[in-house]
Amino acid sequence: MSGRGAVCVTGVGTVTPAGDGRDATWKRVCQGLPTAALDDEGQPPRLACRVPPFGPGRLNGLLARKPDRCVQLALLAAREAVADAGLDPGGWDGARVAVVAGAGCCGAQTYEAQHRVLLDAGQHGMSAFSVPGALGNALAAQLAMDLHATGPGLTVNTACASGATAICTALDLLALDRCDIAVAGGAEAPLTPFFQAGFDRMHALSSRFGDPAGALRPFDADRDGFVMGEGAGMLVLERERDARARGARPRARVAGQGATSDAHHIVKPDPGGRGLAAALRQALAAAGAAPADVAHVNAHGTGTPLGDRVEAGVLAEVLPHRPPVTSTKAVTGHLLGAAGAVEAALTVLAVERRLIPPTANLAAPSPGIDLDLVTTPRPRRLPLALSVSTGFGGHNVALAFAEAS
Amino acid sequence: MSFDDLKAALVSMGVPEEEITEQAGREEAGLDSLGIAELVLILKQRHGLTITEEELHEAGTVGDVLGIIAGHAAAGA
Repeated sequence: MSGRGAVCVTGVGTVTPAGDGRDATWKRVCQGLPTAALDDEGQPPRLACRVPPFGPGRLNGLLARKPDRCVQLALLAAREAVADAGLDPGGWDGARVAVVAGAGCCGAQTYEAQHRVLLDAGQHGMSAFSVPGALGNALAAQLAMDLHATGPGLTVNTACASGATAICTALDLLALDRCDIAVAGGAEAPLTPFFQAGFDRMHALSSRFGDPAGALRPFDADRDGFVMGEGAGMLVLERERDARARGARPRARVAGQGATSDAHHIVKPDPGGRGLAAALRQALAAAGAAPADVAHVNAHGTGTPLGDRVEAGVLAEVLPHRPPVTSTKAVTGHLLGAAGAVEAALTVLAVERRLIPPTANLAAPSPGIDLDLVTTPRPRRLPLALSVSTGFGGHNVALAFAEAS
Repeated sequence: MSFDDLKAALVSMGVPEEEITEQAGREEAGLDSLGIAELVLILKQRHGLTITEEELHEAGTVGDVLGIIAGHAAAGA
């Protein structure tokens, strides 16, 4: 997709409510088993999708730097992705390695806990790591330290599109020859009182408290909002010729990217979905592909009444041949800033493994939604697949992945 | 305060247990400037000891840190 050669995905790492690790996540997503559970029986109750517990030993001393949970999840996913790529941070030329991380509310748990300490005990009770452990940049900084990556490093924030935007930014850095390897993705640990209440105040969350597993219902007629989740997804991106030269096996090729802004509203999508449609068309143009070439779409599909309707309309308009569409959020929950990266990872695995995961909880599509929604795993070759992400504020991202040649 | 007490405090800060020996350099045991600020907080909250960050910055090793703390404890500070 650039003059410097095609870019491929050689490593995938995910830590999600569906599983601690890439293969555990993929397995549960393909089983269509939702992870949402009743998290707090208070008033109002809270639903949430949590990552399975992991021991502090997995973080190998990083806890001394007091990373926010968002950073911890990112580190685990990044290590898995780098190992998957067959790369060794102890031996690589770190100056040519970039780190691009995305998050919407990085630091939430640290800020909220330390703010409580500040109010109760005053400044001298606060941890000295309150700021450096939590700031959004800690994501990129701690990943860089962990991976000995001394090339460009940054954290991006496009709300729920952050993970996808991070991948776009990494692709730009590769195209500009600012790096040879990019570790890119997103992370989020937003299950805090402030963010749970804040999203609920926007009426973005499902209130199906009596049926947690059935609460997040992408494109379903009875959908009433999403369930927040925590997690991280990371990809290792490198030029295909570099990957081949070192004997690595690409899982998929990155065929194109598109990114636009609605410039419409701080929360609501443009009702016509023009920005999202433009992002899809950009990605197709970058891939040198026609709409009919798209064999699968991993949709944003959060289960909000308006968001799903707009997205479904855009997919039907831009891709009138009705390719199979799935939303894996019904299983994972909405991982906010990590969602775009986790779903990019799942799209890569779908292309590689020739299997479209199902959309759980889809009993009856909403009237007016005319998509080929996949409800049971569907084996199929996927020469080209799209992962679509949008974020509050009107951020739209489309990533196109193709089979590795 | 014993070495084991100090070790427990450092482990609670997230420092890997195997890196905590009396001979270990202060920074290697997680006690850079931010780590010292954390330790001062723990000493105050859990052990009732008021030790300044400046004092602990003088320490070269974990053993030195222990000595400074012990001096305070003995003085009834």
